[in-house]
Amino acid sequence: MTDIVLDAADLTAAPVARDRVLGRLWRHRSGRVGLVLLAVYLIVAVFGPLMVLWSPSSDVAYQNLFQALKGPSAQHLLGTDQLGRDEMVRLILGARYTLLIGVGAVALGLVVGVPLGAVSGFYRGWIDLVVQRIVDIVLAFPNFLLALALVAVLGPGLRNVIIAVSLASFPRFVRLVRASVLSVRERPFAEAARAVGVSRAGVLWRYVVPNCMAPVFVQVPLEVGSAILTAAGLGFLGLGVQQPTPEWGAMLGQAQNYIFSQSYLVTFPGLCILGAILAFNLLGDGLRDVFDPRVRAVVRRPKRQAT
Amino acid sequence: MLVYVGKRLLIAVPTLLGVATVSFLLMRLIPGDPAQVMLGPTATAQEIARFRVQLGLDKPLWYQYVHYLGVLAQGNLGSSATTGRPVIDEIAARAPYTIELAVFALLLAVLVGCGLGLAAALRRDSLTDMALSGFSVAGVSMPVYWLGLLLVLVFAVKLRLLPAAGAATPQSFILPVVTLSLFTMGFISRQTRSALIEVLDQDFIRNLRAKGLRRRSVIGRHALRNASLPILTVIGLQFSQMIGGAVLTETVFAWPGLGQLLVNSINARDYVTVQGITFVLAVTVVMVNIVIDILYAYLDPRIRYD
Repeated sequence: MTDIVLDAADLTAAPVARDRVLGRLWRHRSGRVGLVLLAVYLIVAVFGPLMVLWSPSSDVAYQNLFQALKGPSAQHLLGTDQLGRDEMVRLILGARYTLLIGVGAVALGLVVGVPLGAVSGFYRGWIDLVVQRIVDIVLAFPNFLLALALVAVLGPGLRNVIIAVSLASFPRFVRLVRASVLSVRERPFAEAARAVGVSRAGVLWRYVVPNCMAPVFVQVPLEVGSAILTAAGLGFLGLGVQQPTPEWGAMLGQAQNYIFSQSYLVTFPGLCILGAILAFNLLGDGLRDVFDPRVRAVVRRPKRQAT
Repeated sequence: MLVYVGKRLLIAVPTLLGVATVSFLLMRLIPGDPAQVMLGPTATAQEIARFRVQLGLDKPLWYQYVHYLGVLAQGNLGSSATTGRPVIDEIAARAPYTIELAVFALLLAVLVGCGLGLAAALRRDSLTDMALSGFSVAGVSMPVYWLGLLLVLVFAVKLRLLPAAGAATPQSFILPVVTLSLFTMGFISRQTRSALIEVLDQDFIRNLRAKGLRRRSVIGRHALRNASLPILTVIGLQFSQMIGGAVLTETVFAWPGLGQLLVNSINARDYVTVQGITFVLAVTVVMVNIVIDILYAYLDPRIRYD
């Protein structure tokens, strides 16, 4: 199977000092929008529960059927859902679940994918063959389909959603790191480390892997976006995070039943999901351009080669 | 070329075997007794015992695995736990709907996506480029299920122009096809833009212009052809993405395809059907990728002689 990963050789060739990344990102048009959007989501995710303490709906088990399906009003800015819970409060509470799933799934994918890719690309031989076949097999399954099948058999819930989403996506990290390791292991500093007597494992983990992380770093926001998309899709089908947890995908799935009468219930959870994915995608676009020496229109080349 | 095709098909054999293994393992991941889980709490011990024999769960694991592969090789995916009909028949009845949906959506995505990418690349860094790039990034960030619901809201609920669900009339194709294609459209447009920009920056393009070739033929005959390889790669990858999207799109529009069958089977705990559909869809993705690789080799002779 063919795969597009970022051109590893190009990214590792021109390291960018870490403290400059943020500044460069800020000067990048879509990078800046992504940063701002992400900051908003992070604030809501962290402080959300404190923001809505005033509302009875901040208790996820709260129900008030007398207030069910009321349209937006001064009291409930975005209306109430089928159980009479304030829609805006639930959306605010939902931010942390979405970010937790996205970041958690990618973190798990990194923990599994980076070592596998590094070992595969560094030692080559039979281990490479085995790992690459496994990756081929997992990638043969459409990403969403595999996550769906896994959740179907493992059962729904936050933990299983994170596991399912990360299992479906770790092969991309394996590919990315392997491609990167293949080019970095041939670079003079890696050979020099070998020459002065560093063990093979030492060369790999202390010298090669740290220099392979730039393309991974660039890919991470895009993967978080994709994980959020998948997880919310599972929630939409009723197989992700379960009620009464205010997960946006699940809220949208419930709202589908009221599309003819309470269209606001469909509009806002979707908007929240879209915004979160957009934030990570824009950030990813920005990071890619910041790290890519070929893009000069937006970001100037570093004056000195930082290490 | 034939040698390449043969080689490519051979490489696919272990992958297909692996796909079958994963499908087999899927059923073993169910916590507890699969027969019990599938039949539900109302089943009697006798019914469960009979179902265990039917599923082969009374045999050792290695025997189950070999048996599964043997039966699979004959094109038998087992019988549905709910209807008792062969899973392969259920799939055959639903597949045409999903294929139609996916093919139309892919066509729309390729045509419009390439067009938008081309327009953006030719007017690089202009306002048009910014608007088109914004559209593309919104496209790849848009949850397909939400887009579907929004389109239903606007075109079926408010304007009453198009049907909200089902696959009865030609008009009912419009919303699902547009819904499914947007993500891929955005992806292809982004890839076309960056591939073209990279090609247009190269020396041979400047030389062609310098020798007096018209802009139209420089782009049509030379730039586009050189940019077609990365675009083709993306189309191959997107096919897999589209299958996942189809599951969600079919749920939104009550489209009677494989995705709907899959979701219904999951909800009915009919894991035999879930296993069958997952296997068939994965095999389809492997096959499509083989075709793409062969096309690739046809377009780029360097790959054939590698």
